Amino acid sequence: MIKTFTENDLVRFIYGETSPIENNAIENALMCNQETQEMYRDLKETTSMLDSVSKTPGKKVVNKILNYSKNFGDISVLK
Amino acid sequence: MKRSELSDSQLLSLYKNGSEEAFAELVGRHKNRVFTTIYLIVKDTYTAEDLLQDSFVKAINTIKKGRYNEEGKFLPWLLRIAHNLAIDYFRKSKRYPTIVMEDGSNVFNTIDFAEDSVEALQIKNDTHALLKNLIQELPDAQKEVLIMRHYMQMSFQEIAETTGVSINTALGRMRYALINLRKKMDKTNIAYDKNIYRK
Repeated sequence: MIKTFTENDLVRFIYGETSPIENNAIENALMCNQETQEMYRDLKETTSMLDSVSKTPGKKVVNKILNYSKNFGDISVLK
Repeated sequence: MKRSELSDSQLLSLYKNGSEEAFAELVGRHKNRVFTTIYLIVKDTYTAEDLLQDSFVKAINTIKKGRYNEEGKFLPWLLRIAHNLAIDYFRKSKRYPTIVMEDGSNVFNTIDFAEDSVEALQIKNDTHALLKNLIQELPDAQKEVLIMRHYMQMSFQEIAETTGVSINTALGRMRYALINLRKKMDKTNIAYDKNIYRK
């Protein structure tokens, strides 16, 4: 099968930026081309791991933000 | 309808009409993504908290003064504010930070524990810390695109326009960022369960 997309297109596919026609070509390649499958799996696993990286700010700073909104204009609540 | 079921634009409308509860929901919904984005740029928990506060203050000022006009695009707008503030921080300090304050990211302000076993949690902790460091090790151009696409949810077209490169260059940088991260993860030999990260 002739590959009609590039590796960059695979990145666009993972991020949902490909057209329906491009999706068909890539999905077909994923079914029958081992090299594409492996590349897709590696990229997808890495992006999934990136999803897991999440940091939560401290409650104190969140409360300051909420208080600033409640007392709009009073910057003393931010200190 | 519960507040948690409302869209961002519905919550914004309520907030414009004085609902602080709606704003609290927006903050709760997006604080982690904004904070993570800032942290990946500044690499310091305390600076990231300051910039998170500044970002929301700027957003509050804009909304309360009736100048917000990006209906339905609240998070991308907020992330752009945060990104710009983080970049300004570097310009003002005239340096790229080299100190990684991992001790600032303690177990209580790092991740969501929900329904994880102790073992799974430890693996996640190790991998999160490692991955955060590996992201910092990427070349600046790759790191920038990765943060913009993955955490700021900008399209590759928007990234190309913002960074002044072609869309293919932006895509190439993203692809190399992912490949490099993958290689670095493999090199570290850290035991991680891939099933944890599947959606």
